[in-house]
Amino acid sequence: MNLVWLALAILVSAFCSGALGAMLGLGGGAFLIPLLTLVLGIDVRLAIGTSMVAIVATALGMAVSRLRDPLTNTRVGVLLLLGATAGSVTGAVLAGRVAERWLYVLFGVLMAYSAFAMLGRRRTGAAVAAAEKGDALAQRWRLGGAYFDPALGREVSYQPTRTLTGTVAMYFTGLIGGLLGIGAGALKVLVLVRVLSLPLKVSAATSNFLNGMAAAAAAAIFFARGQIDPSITGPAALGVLAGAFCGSRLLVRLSPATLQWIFVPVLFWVAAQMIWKGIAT
Amino acid sequence: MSSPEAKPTDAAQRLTLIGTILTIIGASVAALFIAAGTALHLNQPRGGAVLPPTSLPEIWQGAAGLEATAVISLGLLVLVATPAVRVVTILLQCLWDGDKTFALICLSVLGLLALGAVLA
Repeated sequence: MNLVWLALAILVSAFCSGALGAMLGLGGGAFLIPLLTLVLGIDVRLAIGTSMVAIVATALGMAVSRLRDPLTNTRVGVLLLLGATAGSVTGAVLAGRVAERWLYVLFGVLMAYSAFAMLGRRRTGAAVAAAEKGDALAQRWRLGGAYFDPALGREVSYQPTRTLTGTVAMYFTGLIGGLLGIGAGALKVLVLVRVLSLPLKVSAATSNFLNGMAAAAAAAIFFARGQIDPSITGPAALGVLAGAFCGSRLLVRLSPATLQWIFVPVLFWVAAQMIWKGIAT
Repeated sequence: MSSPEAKPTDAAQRLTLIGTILTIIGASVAALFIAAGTALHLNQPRGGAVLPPTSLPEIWQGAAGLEATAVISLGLLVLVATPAVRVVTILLQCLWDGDKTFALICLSVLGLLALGAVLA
């Protein structure tokens, strides 16, 4: 492929990945890696390195899109970063010592289960409601928050529940992310929604905050390993930055139900992709 | 409803704003370097593939000589370093508000990030 066309193709793919990543809190790697490897024929090792930088770019694109971000709960984010970063560092240290194929399969099965669980919730009409009374730790450390939801036309207040369990669960999402070289954003969103009972929009935004920090540490490792090709990662970073900027603005306008309709098929897509990778490795 | 939400003080809000502005500057500078490097890369004559720089001195030296991959790498480095600004801002906010527990949590996170870099 011509160099200019390749750069343009990467830019467009990255823009779409960044927009979806910002809306769903996935970081964008789940879309970018298959697009780069399966569609553009780029080596998977370089695609993973690019994906780590793309996750950072998604978080930055979101942060830049609004001066005062009402969705990201930074207090909850910082607390969970303790677990996520510790897990990420452990994962990076352990990387290469565990058979990756089983981790891929495990991750895929977990995603598929989560997608089914979310689908079941919607079918029974039980919306993912924000908790109004948090646990003792959330009250003591003032972890609650509120934001105005234009889609609902009212302010949504919430209080995190099971804060400690969530922090421990984040350790494992960080561990998986560090081992596999991905953001594991889908898993983070699930922990935020199912364990901490945060609204989906807050979970997506806070997940991107977590992803950005964890990926920034990992990206440095990929740099040192020579797994980042600037001619590929450069256009990808630019595309993701712009895509995340636009996706973040869309996130505020979408209704939680629409967000869930997008999120469930994405979970299935990630699950199928991971299981396939585990089997094919 | 009396919700125990974190109510930011004026000083904390100012710090948040400074953190956001620094993030915007970091992202913009990174985007500028990456765009300039990509433009250089697309206009360079093909052939004679050069290995991209992986260490800081190589990146500095290459960027100073307007080498395309080094200029892009410099932009990517700025991009990757920018998120840490946010944690530092939150740490300063907590110190300003006398929130010692959260300041300690922020310090631990920064320590873990540094540990990751050292282990790399």
